[in-house]
Amino acid sequence: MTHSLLPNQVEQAQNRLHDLVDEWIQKQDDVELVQSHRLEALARFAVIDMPNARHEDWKYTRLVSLWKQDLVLPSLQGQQVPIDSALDWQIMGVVLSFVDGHFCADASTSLSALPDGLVVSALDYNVANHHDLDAIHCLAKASISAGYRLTIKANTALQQPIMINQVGVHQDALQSLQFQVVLEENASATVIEVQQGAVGGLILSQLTVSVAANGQCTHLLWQDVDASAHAFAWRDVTLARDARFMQRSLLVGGLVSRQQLTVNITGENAESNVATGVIALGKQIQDVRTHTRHACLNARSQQLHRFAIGGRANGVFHGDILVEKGADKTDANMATNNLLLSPTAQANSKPQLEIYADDVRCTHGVTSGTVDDAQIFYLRARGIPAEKAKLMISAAFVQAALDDVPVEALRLAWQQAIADKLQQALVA
Amino acid sequence: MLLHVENLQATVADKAVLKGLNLQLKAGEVHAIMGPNGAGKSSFASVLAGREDYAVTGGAALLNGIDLLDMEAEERAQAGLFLAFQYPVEIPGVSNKLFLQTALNSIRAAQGLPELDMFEFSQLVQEKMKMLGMRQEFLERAVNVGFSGGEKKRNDMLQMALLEPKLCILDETDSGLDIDALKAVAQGVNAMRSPERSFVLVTHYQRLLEYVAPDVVHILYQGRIVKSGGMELIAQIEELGYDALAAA
Ligand SMILES: Nc1ncnc2c1ncn2[C@@H]1O[C@H](COP(=O)(O)OP(=O)(O)O)[C@@H](O)[C@H]1O
Ligand SMILES: [Mg+2]
Repeated sequence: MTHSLLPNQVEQAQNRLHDLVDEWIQKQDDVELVQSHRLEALARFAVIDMPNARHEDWKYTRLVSLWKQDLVLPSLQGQQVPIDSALDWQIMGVVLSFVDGHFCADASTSLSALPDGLVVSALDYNVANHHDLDAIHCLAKASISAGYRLTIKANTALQQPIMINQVGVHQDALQSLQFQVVLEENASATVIEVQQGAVGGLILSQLTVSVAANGQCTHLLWQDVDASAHAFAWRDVTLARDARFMQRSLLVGGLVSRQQLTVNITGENAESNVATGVIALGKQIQDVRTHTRHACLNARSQQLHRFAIGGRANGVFHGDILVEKGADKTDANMATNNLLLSPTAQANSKPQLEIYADDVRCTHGVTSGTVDDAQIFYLRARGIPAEKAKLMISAAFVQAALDDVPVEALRLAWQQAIADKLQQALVA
Repeated sequence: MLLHVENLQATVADKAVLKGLNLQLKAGEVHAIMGPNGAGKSSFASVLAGREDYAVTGGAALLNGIDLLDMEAEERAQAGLFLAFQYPVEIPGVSNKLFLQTALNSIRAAQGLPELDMFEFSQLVQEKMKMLGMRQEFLERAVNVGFSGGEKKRNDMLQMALLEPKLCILDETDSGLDIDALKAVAQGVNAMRSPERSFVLVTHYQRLLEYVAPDVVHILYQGRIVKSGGMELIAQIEELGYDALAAA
């Protein structure tokens, strides 16, 4: 059998991962607090149920391919790393690069030459976690190899973006990074997260963003890991009064990718605006999960998720919005649009609303469809070959979610990346 | 003969819409096709342009002696056929500029000509837009999205001016236009008239024909050309109506 594993094979994978990480932790000489944090997570991983298709949350996101992988935790050992590819599209700003989970000073901005108002420090392990951990999240916490806390001081408007660059070069590497971004009152910053690599492996990312009153954070995410890699991310955003959060993501890489976003709106008049462009091709599983919690008066949240799905791929979306008692006048919208590029492509979208407040405006909608024949014909009738016509229309569909990316170099790089990716699908 | 259509028969959704249509058109001529609603005018245009909803069940259509019916829609466009749609389609997210440039370069590539770069293309498109009295912002907007009826038709005229086809079929490009837009369309057609280029104007009003004088007028009725003549036919339609004229 190649398509499923017996329960004891999943157990074996669990044991193998446990031993791998355990052995690795023993070799680290980090401070007591860091080590105990890792060991605690590892102890939970040892006893927790592994994700399986019987569980509602994992019904469409099968991890068989992951359990079969023989992962390693490589060390950097000062070797030269080909990180240039990730920086081809040169973005001016503070760059923090990580190779196989390790900070790479050669490809990073000097930490002693940071702009005023930006402080980079060690992670704070006392930050509480909002949700129950699943097995993969425990694994991420147990195997953290690098991470930073980035504080943007009150009243600082960082002009240039902070770019976190994550590259895999070692085949089958397990890399786990964590970042904490703290925007103090009235601070603003743009954080770009790029995940790339030409090798399979397991890429785990944890990010917390807390935006204090009147702060503004823009988060731009490009998940473009190798087509055989597995990528999981947990991003938690907390917004205080009048805070603004904008996220734009382009998710195209990985065999299995699950990107999870939790937005906690804990201050009045705060606003979250999230848009995602997803391309799932071949046998890819692209899983996007959002949890939006409105706990305060008068706040707004906007979401647009656009999936272009081809081959035998699966585009999975789960989005829940919780409007708590007292969060009156909440305005929350969530739209998911699926474009099916092949008859075997699948979309599984599940929006949920839970409302306990009064006078709220909440909407959610899911559409699924194929490329419109009339549109294709219009382009063909002007001499554009059918393939190209389909490419233009489907690229525009994804692009529409990402048209307002505020960093021009990235916006243009994404346009190209979307076209290139879809081109592969249509040629195949 | 630029266009030679003989005994053309076609169905859509199992319904016969063209029932033995004949038409001959020489290079440089302007022909008008008039007929009541549902006569098959748009069907005729669609079959020539290669819309896949239609099945050709008999007959022939040749462009410059080459079998049109054997070609893909894009190949017909590359061979010099242009259809201005009765209902131009909106394409969200695709800018008019990208669309026009891709179309022009696709046609040039098929003709063995080098592609135009952004600069060369811009110069050419500016020139054509000036001729049609179109504003610059047209290029940046998504194809036909949020365009008024008149703007959509003008956009089709811009495509026609840019692609320089040999045979232009305008399917009710005049309907729903105010007088200024109608004049703009007529001006576009007149500016493009040449000894090598022919036009088929499908209409059921005579308004457009006051500005673009046709060489031949045809009446298309129940899937066939039932009468052909000069401008005098238009007066007869006014007087007798299509039914009586077709029966005569
Ligand atoms: N897609 C279609 N499916 C079914 N019937 C159609 C379709 N398109 C056109 N028809 C029918 O074919 C006939 C001819 O239509 P059309 O060519 O649009 O006429 P005209 O343009 O002369 O008004 C009409 O009876 C119309 O209802
Ligand atoms: Mg019609």
